[in-house]
Amino acid sequence: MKEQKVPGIKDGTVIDHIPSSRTPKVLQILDLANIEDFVSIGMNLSSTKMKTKGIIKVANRKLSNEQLDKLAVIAPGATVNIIKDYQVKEKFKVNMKDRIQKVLRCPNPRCVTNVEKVSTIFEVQEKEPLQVRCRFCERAFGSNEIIIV
Amino acid sequence: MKKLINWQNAGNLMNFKGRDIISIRDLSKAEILFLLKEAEKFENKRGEFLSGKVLASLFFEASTRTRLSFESAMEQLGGKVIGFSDDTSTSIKKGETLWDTIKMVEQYADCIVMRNPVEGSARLAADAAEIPVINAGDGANQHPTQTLVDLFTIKKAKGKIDGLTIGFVGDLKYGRTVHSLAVALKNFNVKLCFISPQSLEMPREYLQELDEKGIKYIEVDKIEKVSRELDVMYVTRIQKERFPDPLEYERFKGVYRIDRKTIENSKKGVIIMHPLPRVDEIATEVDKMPNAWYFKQAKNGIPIRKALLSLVMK
Repeated sequence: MKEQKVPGIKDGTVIDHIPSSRTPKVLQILDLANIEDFVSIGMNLSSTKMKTKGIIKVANRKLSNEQLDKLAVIAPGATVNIIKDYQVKEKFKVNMKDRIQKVLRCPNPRCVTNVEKVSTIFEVQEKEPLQVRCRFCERAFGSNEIIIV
Repeated sequence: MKKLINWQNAGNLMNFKGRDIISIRDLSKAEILFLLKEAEKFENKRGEFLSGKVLASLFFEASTRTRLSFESAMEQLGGKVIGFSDDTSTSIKKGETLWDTIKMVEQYADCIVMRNPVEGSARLAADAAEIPVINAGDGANQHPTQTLVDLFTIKKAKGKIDGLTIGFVGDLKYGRTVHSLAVALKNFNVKLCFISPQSLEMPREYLQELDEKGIKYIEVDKIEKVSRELDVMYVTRIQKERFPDPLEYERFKGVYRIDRKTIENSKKGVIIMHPLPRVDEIATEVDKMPNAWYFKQAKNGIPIRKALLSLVMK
């Protein structure tokens, strides 16, 4: 039997294949640090695909579409497993869309999205490394500049 | 509901009725060439093309050339103009959102022309309005009609755009017209020269866009290094306030000054363009030379804007 380094859950969601160093960021962005349900976190776990990886297991919860969109931005290669009664019921890779809505804030302080009450829209120009362009002010930003709401 | 168009789905839509003109990125090469051809038809044409139509001219920021040329273009087509030339008397000052202002204005007009200092505000206005919106400048972002005027001027002077070597001189870091024109020119087979001091050089993100399209360009710090190659010299104003050290400004302002001698030492037939206003980067002695195209460039604002207004409203 495979050794389980992160305790399993009966029902809930397992986020796997997170770049290890981004695991705390995922926890923060998905707002999983302050919930009452059981959450277990593993970092620097060995992985054949990516050398080391991070895993987050959240009991009794499914990620919302907005959380999945955010996850795709910070951990584009992550996989999501839906667990029911200790069994994987569904497994999928997060999918970065061509257009990211609401999830990011425009880093340009002079952009209308930071002046008026309007939801942001970014067109994805490159997925790896991530490069997006604000639909409003048309500035392009790399992954080191983007701000996740 | 009008069709939302942006640079991701810009196509060859020659039907401009009801369409917003927000960014030069929204226009394909075929569409740009079509607009230049239409402008040519409107050069000496006046008439009742837009009789009964109303243009809302919303200038939240002062402008001379752009506002007057839009308003004159509308008048020449038989339409009427309503609006304001600065934001002191608008409800925005009372806290009204731009979205609400646009929703209100569209009840009174058939098309909106807007200048607003906030970047991206034109796209937001276009999202709010059911009637077409034309961007007359949104901060440091876009000024697509100026870019069309520049392309029209180049085509008129040289008979073509493909195959030309075009130089940009001066403040390339902050110059919105330079950025927009460079983005438009990536649709054409051109060679570009960026001539500026290092502190005011063309931003990397625009050069990256040119790289992606395989456009050849060089960056130099002196006009003399490339002046024998250039078919077009697009000159911009170097603003004193851009330099942290005033001495540096004094040093550069002469280096990028175009005078009779500069033109005599350049390729025969080079045209000098400038989005205006100029300060002293082009000597007045150049004004009478056949190479001076900057006042004709300003005049070309009328046919381009007449073509756009008539296409989006008719």
